[in-house]
Amino acid sequence: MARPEELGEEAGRINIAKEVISSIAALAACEIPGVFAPGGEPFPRGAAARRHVDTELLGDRVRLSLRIAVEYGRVIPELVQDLQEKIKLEVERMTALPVEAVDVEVTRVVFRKGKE
Amino acid sequence: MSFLLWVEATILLLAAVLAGLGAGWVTPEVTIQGNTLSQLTVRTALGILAAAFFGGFVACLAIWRQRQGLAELLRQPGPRGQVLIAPKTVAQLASGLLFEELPETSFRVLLRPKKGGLLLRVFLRLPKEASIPEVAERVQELLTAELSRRTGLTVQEVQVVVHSASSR
Repeated sequence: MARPEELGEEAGRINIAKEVISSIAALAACEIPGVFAPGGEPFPRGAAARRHVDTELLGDRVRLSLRIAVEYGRVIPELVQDLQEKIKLEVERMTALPVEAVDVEVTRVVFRKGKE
Repeated sequence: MSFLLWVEATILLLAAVLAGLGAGWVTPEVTIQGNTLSQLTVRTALGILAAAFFGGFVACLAIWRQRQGLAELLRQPGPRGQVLIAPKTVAQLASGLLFEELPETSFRVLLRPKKGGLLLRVFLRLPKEASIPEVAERVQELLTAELSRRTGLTVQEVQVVVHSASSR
């Protein structure tokens, strides 16, 4: 079961499950062109995305690990940097939890039809 | 993959130990299907078997070490977190570049770590009329420049191995 993250106790507690943070990261990944799920299909949303995103809570900070595939022709360092920035921005905006790092593993290349 | 390699290494080590113990404890004579083998023969056979299994175990360790070296090389720290480009990804990128440059050629790409960078070994099957030095130079230039640009990794060396020529 997910360990909930406690945000504050002035007006009550807010708990954010790790799965929610994973889902936010996956949704952010969907918005970056050229990013695919490790199997080569479009990055899934919701519960299915959690298979490709691991969330670790380190005190009040978050560390995310993603496994992705990239479209052939993209410059990987630039694409990954865009992805990391987008995820960090979205997670921090929606949860108010600081993101320590977004580690990305590029597991394969996705070729357009007829190239693989 | 790494798990299977460790299973294989463990089995080979156990087999080496068992064969080695068998060589040490073997009875004076062994009879197999009516043929009597001397203690020395059985010990020698088991000793060779133990050495072979141990050699397999050492080979597994060497493969594991090489993979670890490659994984470390492909892991790049960044301001927002680490980026790990899997060896398969680099090989696919290299294949894509080669396919664009040499559509008539079949090829295979292997990766090895070398001096803080990558060593790429490209096995080519060229068309019969192709000029090997010219193609090799094109391949080396292309992979060194484009692979570095697209992955941020340093390509130290590109070795081109032409293993055959096709009639087409």
